[in-house]
Amino acid sequence: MAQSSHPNFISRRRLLQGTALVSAILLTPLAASTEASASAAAEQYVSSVGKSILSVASGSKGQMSSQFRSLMARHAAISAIGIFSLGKYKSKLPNGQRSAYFSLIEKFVAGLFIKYAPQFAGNRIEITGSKARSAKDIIVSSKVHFASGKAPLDVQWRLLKAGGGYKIFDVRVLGIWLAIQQRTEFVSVIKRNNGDVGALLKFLRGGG
Amino acid sequence: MGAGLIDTAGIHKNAIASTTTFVSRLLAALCIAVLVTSVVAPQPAYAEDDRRIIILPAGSDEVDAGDDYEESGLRDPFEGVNRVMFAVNDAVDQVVLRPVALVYRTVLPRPLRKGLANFLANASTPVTLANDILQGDMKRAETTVVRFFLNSVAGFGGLHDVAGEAGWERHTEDFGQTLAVYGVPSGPYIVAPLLGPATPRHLVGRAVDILANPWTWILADVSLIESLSPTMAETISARDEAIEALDATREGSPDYYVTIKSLYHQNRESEINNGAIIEDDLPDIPDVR
Repeated sequence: MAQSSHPNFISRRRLLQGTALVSAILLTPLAASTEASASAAAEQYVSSVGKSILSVASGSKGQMSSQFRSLMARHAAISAIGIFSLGKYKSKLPNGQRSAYFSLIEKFVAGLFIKYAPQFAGNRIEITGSKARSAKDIIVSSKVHFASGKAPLDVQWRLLKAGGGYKIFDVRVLGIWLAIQQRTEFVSVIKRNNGDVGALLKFLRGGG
Repeated sequence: MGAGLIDTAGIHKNAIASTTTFVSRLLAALCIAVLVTSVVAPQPAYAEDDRRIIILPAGSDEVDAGDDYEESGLRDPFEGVNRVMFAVNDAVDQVVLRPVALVYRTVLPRPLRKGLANFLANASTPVTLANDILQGDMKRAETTVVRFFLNSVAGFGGLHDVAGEAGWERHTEDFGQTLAVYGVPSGPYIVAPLLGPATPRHLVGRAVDILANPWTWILADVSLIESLSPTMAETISARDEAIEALDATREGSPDYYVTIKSLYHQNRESEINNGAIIEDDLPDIPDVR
């Protein structure tokens, strides 16, 4: 009985394999083409924003904060970053405080950018590849080159596809994802204050 | 006969003394070596196309995703003691290491400091090469060998990184990374006196690297200060390069202990993966409207 059903099983399996193969052959070029075009657009976006960031980083320090905040307002997925940074305490942020919190994050990140800018102020950004984690989640890899001859710096950009364009959700420098790093620190502040998100807001306002 | 007995005892005594000296040197070298990885900012990681698969045992404390990601970083069951040790190490860094690095920066011009850093990096080739091979990564082993010969010959003994300029980028490997690739879990986060942030796996790896490094044995018979000179030079050189980054980190951090722990963990994971991004480990982007 088992022997008589075996050939049928094989033929059904072969039929399924054949169908899958034909489907793969027919659909792969289309999928590859769509992914390639999405990646090309994402790469172009990072190339353009990266140039602007390098320009701000090597510009005058007096204007750096306002220029960088302007870039953030246009290109950072600030709501997603803000909520992400609260980790498991995200539900504890009162709705009435959301916009103030997002604004404080912009100020906080701009402050960090000014501190680190001299070390990352390269003169050229080279896009080295990209990969879609999902349709809305794309990672673009780049190298920042320095006029001083310093070894190039690998920087990865995690993009969130929103509407017709992209927003930057996270940046990886020296192997460190900055939003993940920020989340660890923010959660630590809230945790050490018995889950009080107000303590984080106080820190971000400069009163921590 | 009696003389023979006396000689034998003398030989034993010398052997014990020698071993004790060596062990004390090893420990001292270990202390300083790990201090480099703990106090100094993360080292560059180099992205590569190849993605290494790391099989972690069930219940591993290293990888997770989703909303609880921050809870599943490096397990820290000894946080209370670790924070005390961290404060001590930080004080030593601020009182001794950072000022020494500043003096070093003031005394030596940048090209000389860069040359010394290149020389020390070139001298660490045996450790990197051994671990490249142990991890079965012959492509990176080839890069390590080419870099060593190019920099030793055309780069004046390693003072100039001509290989890097020609596109052979530097990478580092250590036995702690090799253990991780073999699937050995890191163990909990620990901050040991002077050793700084580490894990048991990292510390064991450091000890093995020191024992396997030919320089340890070449310098075994010289005075303690001479045998530790390369390690001290490496520490000061690395601390010099990290002055601005660490100052900025300290100023901007709401909790310096947590910041350094997270930086250490992320950087170490990146090193183990040779800079490659493990996409499945990334937390999802929240859907915010």
